[in-house]
Amino acid sequence: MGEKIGKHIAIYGKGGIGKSTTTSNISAALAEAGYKVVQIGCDPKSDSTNTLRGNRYLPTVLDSMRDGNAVKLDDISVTGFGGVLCIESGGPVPGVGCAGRGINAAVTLLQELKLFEEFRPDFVLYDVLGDVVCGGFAVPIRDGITDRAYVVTSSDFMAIYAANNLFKAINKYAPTGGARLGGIIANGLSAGYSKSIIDDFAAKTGTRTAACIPRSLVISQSELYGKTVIEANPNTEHARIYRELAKYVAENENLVIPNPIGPNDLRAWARDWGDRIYNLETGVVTAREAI
Amino acid sequence: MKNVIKNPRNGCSLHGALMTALAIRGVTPIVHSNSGCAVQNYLAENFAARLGRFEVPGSSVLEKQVIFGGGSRLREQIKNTVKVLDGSLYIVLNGCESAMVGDDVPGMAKEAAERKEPVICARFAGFHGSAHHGYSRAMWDLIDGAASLGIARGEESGRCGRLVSVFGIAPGLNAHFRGDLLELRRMFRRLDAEANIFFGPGGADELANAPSAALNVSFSKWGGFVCGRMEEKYGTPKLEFDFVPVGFEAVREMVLAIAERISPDDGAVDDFLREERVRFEYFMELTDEYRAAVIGARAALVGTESVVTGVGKFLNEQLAATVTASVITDSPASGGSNADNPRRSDDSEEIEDILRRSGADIILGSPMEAPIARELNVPLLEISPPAGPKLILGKSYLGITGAVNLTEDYISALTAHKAGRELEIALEIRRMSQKY
Ligand SMILES: Nc1ncnc2c1ncn2[C@@H]1O[C@H](COP(=O)(O)OP(=O)(O)OP(=O)(O)O)[C@@H](O)[C@H]1O
Ligand code: SF4
Ligand SMILES: [Mg+2]
Repeated sequence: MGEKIGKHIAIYGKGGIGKSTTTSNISAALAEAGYKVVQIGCDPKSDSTNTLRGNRYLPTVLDSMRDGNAVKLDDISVTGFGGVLCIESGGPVPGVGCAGRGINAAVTLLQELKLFEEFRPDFVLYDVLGDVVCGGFAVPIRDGITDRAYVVTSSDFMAIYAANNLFKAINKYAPTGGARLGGIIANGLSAGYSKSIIDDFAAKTGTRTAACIPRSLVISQSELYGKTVIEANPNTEHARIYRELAKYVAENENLVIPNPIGPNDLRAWARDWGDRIYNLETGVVTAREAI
Repeated sequence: MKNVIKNPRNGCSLHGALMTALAIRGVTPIVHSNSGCAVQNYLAENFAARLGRFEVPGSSVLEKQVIFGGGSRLREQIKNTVKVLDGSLYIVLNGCESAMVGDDVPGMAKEAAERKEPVICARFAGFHGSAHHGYSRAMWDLIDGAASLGIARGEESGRCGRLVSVFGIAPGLNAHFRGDLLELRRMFRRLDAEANIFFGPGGADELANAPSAALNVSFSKWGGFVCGRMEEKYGTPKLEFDFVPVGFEAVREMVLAIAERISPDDGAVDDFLREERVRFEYFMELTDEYRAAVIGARAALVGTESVVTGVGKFLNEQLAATVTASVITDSPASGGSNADNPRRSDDSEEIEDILRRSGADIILGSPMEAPIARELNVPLLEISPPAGPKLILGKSYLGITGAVNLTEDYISALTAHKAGRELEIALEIRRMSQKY
């Protein structure tokens, strides 16, 4: 790739953890602040940009490719809230083919179509399906496509486990030009100790928590209207949190190569937190606990 | 470990399976893969494909099928192939990518079978191993698949007492597999048994007969795999040799072991062995003087384990050759080998190195040894695949017939080479003397 137009940011995280919700709200907040934004859903479900475009129909890149006609940018993109250019890579139906290769092909095609040269975005956000399950899903953080990645996680062990896996992938590819980590986005937190768990995980892996987004009905309600929080509920606490996160993402240049925790250490770390939470519930709180 | 392997001679499992399917009359392969996989086989592996046919139907998958799955492309390919190409059995062979993507190949074959088309699929893909691995897996899948389609024949009531199947001699394993197998069939007939040899005029019909055979005989560990599976599933007894028999001693060892398992009529074994001995000795006596001329020649062998073992033993015991190097090219096997100082390599550079240091007067190997034979200025005798431009049809290097052929070729190669050298020297001397 030649000169890089705009900042390219990949958002990863365990399935269902809130990647699309978070990414769309970041995009909306950036657009609201006057930036030109592209959001690319890298997921066969092709639901990443739903709340930016009011659930309007959008043919996916791979659907158009499959039909075999010459694909034009207009056919596969739609302008959503605040001028955000929405694109969905699409992919095979569940159970067949190779979605990883699909993402690869879609991103390549977008480059061939000179998307960035034409649109000249300030920010491009890639909302990438699930955990890094195979090489195909690592494409957005490899090959210099993005230079920064954020991971969305809750304080649940499996979500942290997925985040740790992403760290492994970043750790592997960063030295050869892959993306670095911008930070951890803590999402859907409810219990009081959740933030402490994530902060502790960030400290252990040499990373930072970029934002903490509490669980909230505002998000669910906005989603039901087919809108982001920024659009549907612009004056809420959550809209403020998303704007702050967007500012952080826009300005943060402190990008790191994380140190993933080894499998046994990760289990030991989790068990240790299990004990602490148990003590908390049963009323035993040691002085050191930052809860 | 070296990090560069020069000109490896063994293709992938798909290549082995493709060679196998193409060499069995009536079997039509359908390659489910990108088109390069089949073309590569043609270019690199299988010069011998020019014998017979090389129309290989294939799904020629592209990136589109990788992403969205290649199932429907394969379905279409099966339908069209069955329409335009004859075959009594079609087998879908898988390349690597369809297996990685997880295409439902068995489902597509089953669909066709439900339309009463004789289509089965291989249960392995290109990356599962070498071409030899591909031979053994394809052979098993062909036999078992034919049986699953209900086109198996043979005695309704179990085993056919006088039927034997031969495994482990095949394209990609033996340079003279056709001739060798026909020679074996001739020998079995003398023992009152009929042989399924698969790579002969009988072709696919023999696949259908195979489950009812009374005995499976194998001449390499690759055949051993098929025998093992046949024993498990069909209860067919097996007999395994780790050498290709060349010359009377080896033939006797083989015949006695087989006779013990299939009990031919009284006297058949003795009669046959007597005749074979007379024939063998007759030819050996004729060549007394020739053999004396090549006593102690240093020979280097390159090929599959059972060929190198069998040919090496014959050269050593009957032609008084010193085998100074043996290189086994079909993947490392567990356990030892009775060939002289065997080395295992698939790397042409390493093989050439071994040959250079062997001090050999003659190389018995594949056409891939031609450059080093030229470099060392020694004759090369073709005993191993891959096949080269030389046409090999029905010639055999197995049994007594094979021993006679091998003796003829081995001695001729050495004497012709020597005569050629002498002539060259004489001409050189004349040129020199004319100059002054
Ligand atoms: N902080 C939150 N509070 C309440 N609901 C939330 C919150 N974050 C996400 N959700 C809800 O969780 C559901 C899943 O979120 P989302 O689709 O963004 O996840 P995802 O990580 O993109 O999932 P997938 O891996 O399937 O693409 C949505 O219905 C969303 O509204
Ligand atoms: S190894 Fe795989 S990709 Fe290569 S030729 Fe064989 S089947 Fe094709
Ligand atoms: Mg999503």
